[in-house]
Amino acid sequence: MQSLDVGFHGDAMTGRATPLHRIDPAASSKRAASRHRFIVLPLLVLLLVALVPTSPLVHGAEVAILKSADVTYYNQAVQAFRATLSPDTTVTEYNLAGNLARGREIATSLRGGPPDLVLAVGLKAALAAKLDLVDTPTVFCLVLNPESHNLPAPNMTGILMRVSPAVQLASIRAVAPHIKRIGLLYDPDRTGALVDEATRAARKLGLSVTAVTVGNSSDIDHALRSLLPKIDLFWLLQDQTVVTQDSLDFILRTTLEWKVPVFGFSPTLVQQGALAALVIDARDIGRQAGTLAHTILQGRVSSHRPSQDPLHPQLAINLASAEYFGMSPTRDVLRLATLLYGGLGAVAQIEGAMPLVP
Amino acid sequence: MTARTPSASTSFRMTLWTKLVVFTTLIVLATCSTQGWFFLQEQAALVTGGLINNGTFLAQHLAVSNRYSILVNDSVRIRERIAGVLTIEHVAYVIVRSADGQLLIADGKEGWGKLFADKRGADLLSSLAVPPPVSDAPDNPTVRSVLIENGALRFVESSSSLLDRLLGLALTSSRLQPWYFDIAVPVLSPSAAYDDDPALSLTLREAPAPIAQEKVPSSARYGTVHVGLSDAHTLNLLRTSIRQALLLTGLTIAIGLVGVLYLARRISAPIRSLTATASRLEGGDFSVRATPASSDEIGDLARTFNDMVHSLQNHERDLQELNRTLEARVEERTEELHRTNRRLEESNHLKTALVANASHELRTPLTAMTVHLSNMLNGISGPLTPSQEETLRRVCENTDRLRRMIDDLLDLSRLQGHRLAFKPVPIRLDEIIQDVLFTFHQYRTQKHLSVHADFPGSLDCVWGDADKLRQVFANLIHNAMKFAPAGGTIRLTAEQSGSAVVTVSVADSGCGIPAGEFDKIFLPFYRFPTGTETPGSGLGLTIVKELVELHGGAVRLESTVGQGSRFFVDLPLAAQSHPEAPADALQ
Repeated sequence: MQSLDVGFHGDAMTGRATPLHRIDPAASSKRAASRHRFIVLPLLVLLLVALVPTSPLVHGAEVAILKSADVTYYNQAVQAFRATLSPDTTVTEYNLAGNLARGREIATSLRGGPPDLVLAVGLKAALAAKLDLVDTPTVFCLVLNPESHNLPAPNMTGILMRVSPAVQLASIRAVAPHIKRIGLLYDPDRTGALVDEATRAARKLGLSVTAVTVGNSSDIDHALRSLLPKIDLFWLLQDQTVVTQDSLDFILRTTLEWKVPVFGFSPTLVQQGALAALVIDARDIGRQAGTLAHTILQGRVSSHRPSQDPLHPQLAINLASAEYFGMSPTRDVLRLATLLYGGLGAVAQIEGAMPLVP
Repeated sequence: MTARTPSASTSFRMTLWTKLVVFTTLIVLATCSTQGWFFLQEQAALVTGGLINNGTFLAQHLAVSNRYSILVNDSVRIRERIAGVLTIEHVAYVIVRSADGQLLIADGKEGWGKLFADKRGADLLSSLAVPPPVSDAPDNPTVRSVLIENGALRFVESSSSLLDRLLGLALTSSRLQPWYFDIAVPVLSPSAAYDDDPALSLTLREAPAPIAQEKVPSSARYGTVHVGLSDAHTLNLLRTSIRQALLLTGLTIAIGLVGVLYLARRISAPIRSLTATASRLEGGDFSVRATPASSDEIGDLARTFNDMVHSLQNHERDLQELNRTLEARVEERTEELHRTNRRLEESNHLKTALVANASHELRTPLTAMTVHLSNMLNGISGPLTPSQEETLRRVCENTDRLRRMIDDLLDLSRLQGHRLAFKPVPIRLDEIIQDVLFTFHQYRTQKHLSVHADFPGSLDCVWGDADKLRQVFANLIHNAMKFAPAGGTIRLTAEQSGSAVVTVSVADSGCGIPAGEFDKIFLPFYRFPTGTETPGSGLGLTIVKELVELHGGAVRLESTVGQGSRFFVDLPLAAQSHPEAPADALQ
């Protein structure tokens, strides 16, 4: 490895970023030749490619991947994205190592020879692309609150991390059909819009949503205790005021004590006792991003378009929790569930199925 | 039978049986004791470790489950959970502190609850006010031993292992004062890794201000949870283990000892039996046999011993047979020797008699011949021609020579037959020598020989027969003159050695005699070959030797080839040999 190499490992920076990871070092020279070669038969081939949405990308494309940090789910998304690329696609990967400034530098350097498409994984990568690659089609993913950062930009589109409230509510109905009253805590500054959307969606499904606002995590205790007697199910949103390292355990335990099931967004919470959750898988996000990038590169769609909801959320159910709450998910629901948990977590402990002292 | 060699140490003797029993028992004891000790150590360590692990788990569980309650100071919730933990048997107390060390909740059972609730509770808790140096790693709790003495807490800084109390457990049956293990675990904010859960991870970590570094999962400390564990129950378990271990060890030692005794007996008994059998064998009892009691090496030893005894028995029998036949053969050979000896003696006697008779019978006609020859030479029988005279003279010489030979034979036979008269008296040797020299004067003159005689005047008399001594010195002087060359020298000396012996030597200047001939020169009829024809019978020196020995003396010879010979005759002095001889006879 050259000492001045950049990109994948993000170890050093030069004035001009030197692409490190090339699938085909001679791809740029092949590009011109291939275009000339296929000028006689372009329509048929393009038609065929266009009819097969999952077919590999346009041959010879150059794609840059900006990765906010070297974390597992980012890597999973990148890997899944790369799997959708054609073998002759030139892919260059850059690791921002959690540093926005570095990301902007990388983006600036890419301007000299802009790629055909940029995949921005994570918030910092998306912001770097937004700020410094204004003309390059960009797809972002794994950004929690893109709207808070004015994402997507005109040249950008992306895959959202939140499943739409309507889909979530539908899942709640499927898992717990008897549930009528749903409660949630939220910070209006963070998820106010989401709650409004959820309330509307719930009304359509004949469900009532009781939303209690919290300004900071210390309000959770009182707020939750006041909410729990009034609801049949607690809906835990991806609200950064409600969901903290400190409050999670408290929320789970309190709801278990009150025998109020929790519907969340995380498989970890389900494992720890929540009834169910609609979860997203980083690999699915990556593949979805790859498909979107494919269509952009084909020119079939523009990069300036609304972000997409995750197309393949997974249903996670804790069977022990269901049993604890007196529920019996139907066989159809169980077939729909991708992740099934049972026995581990707070439920077993409170039930005494496992003694405190092993 | 040889005497048994006493052993080096007779005061104390350790038998094989004793050695086997003692050393094997020591080994068994050492092994069982060591194993038992290590077992107890391990049990104590396991029990202690288990107790601490349980306490650690409880403390960690409390820390995790009360994390938020501690953070928001929800004492009600905390107390509820503590009450649940205190239902566990060996949990004595639970203490929860805030991040700054302030006591939030303290509850316990038995004496601890009272201590906490008592007036002295403040003092008691103040002693716990200084928090121990709890590590920030929940997996690495801080463990200390705590005692209650006179209502006050005392932290014991010694090892937290129950092994320190092992002896007390083993030796006493009374209830020991329990110790308490204080296990302190920090209450930390949870880690927000969730690497496999992007939704939760990003919800927790994604900072609203992206310029700043994203929130690193903080490990803020919210407080400390102390769980106090009593070792009372554990001590009982350990006491039971110790007693069981001691019982098992004792049983093993007892069984081992029985085994050792049996084995020692099995080994030593056959050896003792073999020793007794060997002792009887040593006493000459070849009928004894060892009894092989086993098919191992000791049995092999017994069988080999029996084979050895059988072989010894056969050898003994052969020796006895050989001894018996040897004695018979010796007797037979001795008898045969006696018979041979008798025959030889008879032959000798017959020979001596024959010689004497023959000599006597021969002398008679020879004397007659000599007379007649003398008469004829004297002209008695008539005149003789010169040639006749010459012839008769030669005949006379030969008859004289024959007569001398016969005389010598006769003398020798008488000597050997002990029939020679021997009349010893004190004799002056110089007179004898003088007589002999006079006798050979003419012969000496003919050969122009010089005779030197050196006889001191103070020479004492010797005890001897004059005639015999005269014959001795006649033979020696005649031989000296005979073998000396013409013009040679004969030397005669006499020397007295003290008051016992006189030694007379006769030396000539002849051709000498080789040393290898010294023993033969005195044999009868032996004549040393000089290369020239010398007259003589070969009996002269034999007669000299017989006669000198008859006198109680000895004759010796010294000779050098080419220079001459010297004969020494040692004769006893008269005063020494016969002190009762008259004094005038010795003058």
